[in-house]
Amino acid sequence: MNDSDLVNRFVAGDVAAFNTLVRRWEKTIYNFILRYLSDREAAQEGCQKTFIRAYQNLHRLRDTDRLSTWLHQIAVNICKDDMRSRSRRKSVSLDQLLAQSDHTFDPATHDHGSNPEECAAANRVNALLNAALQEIPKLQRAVVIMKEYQGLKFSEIAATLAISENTAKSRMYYGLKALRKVFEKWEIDKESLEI
Amino acid sequence: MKCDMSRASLIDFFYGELDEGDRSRVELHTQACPACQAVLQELQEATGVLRLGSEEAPRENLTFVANDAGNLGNYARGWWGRLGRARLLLAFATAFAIIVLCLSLARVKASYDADGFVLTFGEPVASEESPQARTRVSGWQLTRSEFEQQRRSDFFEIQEMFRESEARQLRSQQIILEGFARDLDSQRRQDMMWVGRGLQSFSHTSQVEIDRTQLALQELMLVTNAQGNQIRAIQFSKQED
Ligand SMILES: [Zn+2]
Repeated sequence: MNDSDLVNRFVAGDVAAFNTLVRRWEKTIYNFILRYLSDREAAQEGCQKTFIRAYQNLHRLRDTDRLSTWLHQIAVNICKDDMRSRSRRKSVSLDQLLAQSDHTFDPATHDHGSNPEECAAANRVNALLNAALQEIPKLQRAVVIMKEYQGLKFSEIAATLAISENTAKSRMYYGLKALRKVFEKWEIDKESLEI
Repeated sequence: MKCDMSRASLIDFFYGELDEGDRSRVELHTQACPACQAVLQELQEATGVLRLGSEEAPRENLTFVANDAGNLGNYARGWWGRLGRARLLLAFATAFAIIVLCLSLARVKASYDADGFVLTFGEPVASEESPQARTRVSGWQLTRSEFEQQRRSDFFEIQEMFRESEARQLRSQQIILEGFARDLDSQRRQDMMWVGRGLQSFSHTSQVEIDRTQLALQELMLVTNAQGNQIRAIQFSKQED
């Protein structure tokens, strides 16, 4: 059953249909927020808030084919709220982040099978990439994550962020250029990270 | 050669989001343009690293239950939010009760007749049978001109309220605009930084170019001087002959 059918079933009163949608999208939304804020706690909380808001407002979604864009739109707003409410967010150094990622690996949460070493390595890479993403302006960060990880088209990104397609592409361009500089500064390249 | 390739076109080309015609046009250009090739190389490097990332599963999964799910959100909104759809009903009921209470306490009677608009506070009319009772009622009567005056002042008050709400709206729009301006500003600053870096590397390369040209000029001058000497020497020897 596609998203559109599930949305219609939920609006007609079938809560199980909503849970199917949650199963389908929560990992995507969780990872979006995780990359945007680089904070697992915030990602968990933001993901919950996103689906609660979706639950309360799904009946207002006119174009049911746009569910993915709509969910991302909610998630972006929740991230903005989160950043505003914690404007003096405790800053964590990269070393701390990496140390943290070593301690928190959990085989169950990874796609890398059950090999703890691979898992820890994947965690390290993810923590490093998320930290690098924090180094670029948030306007560019949102576009880069949506394009590179969320598989959205530029037209969808533009709709999600209420900007023009050209602006989205321009932010993508600058975002990637800025990220490359960060990688260069941190002496990271594809070869040195590959597991 | 001059490069007028837009950032958007390059990004589209990079992500394969161009139609066939535009794609081959950009491809043809980039094959001949070192600047564009450098940009594509940079995009390749950045995304190459980014794509090593993998997805994590959330630690806790969400499940919505028919009634609880609504409450889950409502807790964040306090007791008023938790009431849900009952809010509207409760608000109406309260408003109605307050109006009835006020009217019964003040014993207000309102009528509009030939004498003008009449609002009567205080004791109710003694009895329906005595028409004179009305004149004996202690109360507050408005003549037509007083009523008009009242109406005008109400009108001004409503206008004032309207102006206030407009000002509030303007303020909130301004806050949004300020946020927008800040975002634009940071984008502009970022742009300027890139332009600055571009200029730096440009001036660096042009300095190298100048140095090289100067060296070449010096060499050229040496050669020319030597040739001049040779020519002079030949002329001199011819004069000798
Ligand atoms: Zn070019």
